Amino acid sequence: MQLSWLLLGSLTLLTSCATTEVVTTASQPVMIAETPIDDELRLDVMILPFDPSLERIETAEGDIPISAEVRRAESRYQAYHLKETLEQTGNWGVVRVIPSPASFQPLLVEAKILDSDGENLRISVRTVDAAGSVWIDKEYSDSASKYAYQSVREDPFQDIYNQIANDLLKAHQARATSSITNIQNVARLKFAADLSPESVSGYLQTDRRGRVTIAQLPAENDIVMQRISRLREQENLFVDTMDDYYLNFYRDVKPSYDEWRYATYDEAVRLRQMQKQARNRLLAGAALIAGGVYAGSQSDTWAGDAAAAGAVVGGIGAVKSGMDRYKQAEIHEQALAELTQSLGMEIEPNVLQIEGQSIELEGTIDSQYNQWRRILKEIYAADQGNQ
Amino acid sequence: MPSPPSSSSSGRETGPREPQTSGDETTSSDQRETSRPGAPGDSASSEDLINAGEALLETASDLTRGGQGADDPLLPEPMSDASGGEPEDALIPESEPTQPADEETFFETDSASTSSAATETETEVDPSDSSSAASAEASAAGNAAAEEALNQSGEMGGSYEDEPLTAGQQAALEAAADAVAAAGEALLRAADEISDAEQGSASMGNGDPPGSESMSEAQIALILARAALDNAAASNDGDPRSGQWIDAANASIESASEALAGAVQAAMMEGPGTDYDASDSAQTADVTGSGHSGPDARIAELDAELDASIVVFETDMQSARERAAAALTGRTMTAVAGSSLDVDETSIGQEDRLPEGTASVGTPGMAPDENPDVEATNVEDSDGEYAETGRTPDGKRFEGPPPTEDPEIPEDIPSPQGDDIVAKQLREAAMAEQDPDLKAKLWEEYKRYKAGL
Repeated sequence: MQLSWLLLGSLTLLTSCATTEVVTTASQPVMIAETPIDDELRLDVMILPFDPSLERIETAEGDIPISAEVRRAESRYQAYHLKETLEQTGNWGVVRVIPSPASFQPLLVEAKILDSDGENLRISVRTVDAAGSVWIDKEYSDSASKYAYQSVREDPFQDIYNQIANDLLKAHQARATSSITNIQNVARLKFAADLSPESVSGYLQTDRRGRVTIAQLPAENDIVMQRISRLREQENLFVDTMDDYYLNFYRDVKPSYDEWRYATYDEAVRLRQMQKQARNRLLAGAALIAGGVYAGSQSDTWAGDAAAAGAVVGGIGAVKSGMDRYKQAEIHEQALAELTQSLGMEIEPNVLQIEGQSIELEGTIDSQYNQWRRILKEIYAADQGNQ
Repeated sequence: MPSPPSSSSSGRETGPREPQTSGDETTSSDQRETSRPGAPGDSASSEDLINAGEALLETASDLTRGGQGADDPLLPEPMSDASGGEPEDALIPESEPTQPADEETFFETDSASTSSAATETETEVDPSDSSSAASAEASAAGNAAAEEALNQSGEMGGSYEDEPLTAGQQAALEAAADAVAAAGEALLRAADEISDAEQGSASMGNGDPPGSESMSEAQIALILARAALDNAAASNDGDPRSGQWIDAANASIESASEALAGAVQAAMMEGPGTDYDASDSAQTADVTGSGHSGPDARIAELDAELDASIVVFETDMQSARERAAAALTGRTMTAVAGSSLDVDETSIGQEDRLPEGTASVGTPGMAPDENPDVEATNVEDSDGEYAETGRTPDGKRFEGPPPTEDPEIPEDIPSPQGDDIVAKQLREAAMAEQDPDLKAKLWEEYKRYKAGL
């Protein structure tokens, strides 16, 4: 009796090897505010290249091969795709991808790639405004549909981007107009503080939670603030220039990246399927063997001994089948590794180029900022001397 | 970052420059006659600026003629026989000397009109006799550099293929010519102002040194001219002919910069019509507060430095954006030429699943209610706040027709700074459009949209 239950359970395990595959095609639509947001209340959104999580490459458990070059490309590609999604909603001001964080941006989006391949995408997103308030801090995940690669109407993981855009919009709508205005003023003062800390000393206060509030606003005829307003335009020019480079990178990488996702989708699905089957069969086989051995030791009839032997044989067979599945999984894993390596080699020049361009432009603006800081400091001192 | 000359400035002027409408020397001559002050008492500063300005105008006309495909102004006329046949190879010695070109005569006789930065001499400016000695040395050195360039071009006379310049190279040269001409005109204006001030006819009520504003404008114009020449050199792609013109123009720019720097220094030291001496410094350093000119003057100097640094930065960023745009244009041309680009809105089969250059994000710049592909399904939220307007607008990113070979942007087109997605698409479409009429309409639409932002 016990043996029969054991056999039944093992057969159930063996047959429950089905894997799920996403077949739906409808993605969550992106929301646009029913009442258009006033221009003064549209916040500028700056997006950092996603953290590629290169440390996870070292600790990967051999599921889907990860390439550092592909991840570094994805970090910018996905950031730019999010930028385009947000831009198309019309809910925001200027939306750009910037190479490094800046505390004086009204809204700063940071994300981290946790998993990314042709089948799955999982990222964590954190968005903070200039006043230090967190708008979003959550994980998003999506699985691509096989139809997504057959009919290219949108990105296979557009759902994630739409969800992020919708969550941002909700967070914006949840805040009062005064709060939005405060964020913009804090952003302006933070920019001023970055260039000329002495001229805005005491204007901003930070509480223990890191929230920034405005103690007082500068005078409209403040001589330093007038100059800083001009320099803000230069910062915007730098951001726009970087955005052009990111656009080029996005367009350069997209065809190869799409092909890679399409090619790895099937391989990834099969790989996970094989791995799951292999695990299940190994478990079932081990259970059968253990059960058979135990039953045999307890049996005192020929039938019982035969059944126990059969269970052991069946278990051995299941284990062997599981090992075969693992070998097949390795084949798919190798195919994925080759595809990923091929893509990495193909797009590495693009990654190096965008990284070089970022370093070059950042170097330009950093040295320029140093000069502007010196000039503003002297202007402030001269103005103080005047007063 | 080099420290710009200290001078007060009312701000950076970025208006459209006056185009050089004629490349002939008659215009330059007229300008020379109308702008040169006849008074014998003109200082060395204004005279140096006049010479430098005229040299720039000459250089601009050379660039213009060269860009329009005229005979190479820097090369001697080809050796040809009396029958007027094809010019013989310049490397083959002839019994009779060639007729020297007018441009050679220009370089040989007009020794005071050019100076060179090739020498890169750090001339210590003597306050008592600052401009004239430096500019004389620079002129002589510049003349030597120009002659050297001319000789090299003579040697290379027959060494390159006689191919016409591409439209892009012509456009870049013409833009550089315009910028150089504008710099020359700015220098002449500065010279006029200095001359008028020295003759006592200029108003100096604001206490600034005479001609400071125009000199500041001239400085900016020189910076822009240098940037335009760099662009022309970049599009030159190693063509030796246009490279010579550009080198000569750069030499003229450098000499003009030196002349301007000398004039600025002389003007600052001379002050608003009074001789510089220690008593002036004592007055400006009055700590009792009776004289506020010291900090104000210092702020003015810092503002000038800030303005100049902003100009340089904007030029750098603009160059970077143009490089990015050029790379994008080149990539679009390659994609169109090398693949069957499907811009249809319908879905594609598996055989042609991912056409090159297609972005599957959607049609940017169009609101969902304007996009015919968007399903207009309104679903009320629990609080009725949001209107779900359907799926993300699908379809392809706008891929215009193959871009033209002439990427020139009209001068009245505003800067792309602050462009949103619609403006950016309009700008890219206008740059990529081949049809001139449609191109003009797209630029008009872009300007109208920018005005409304």
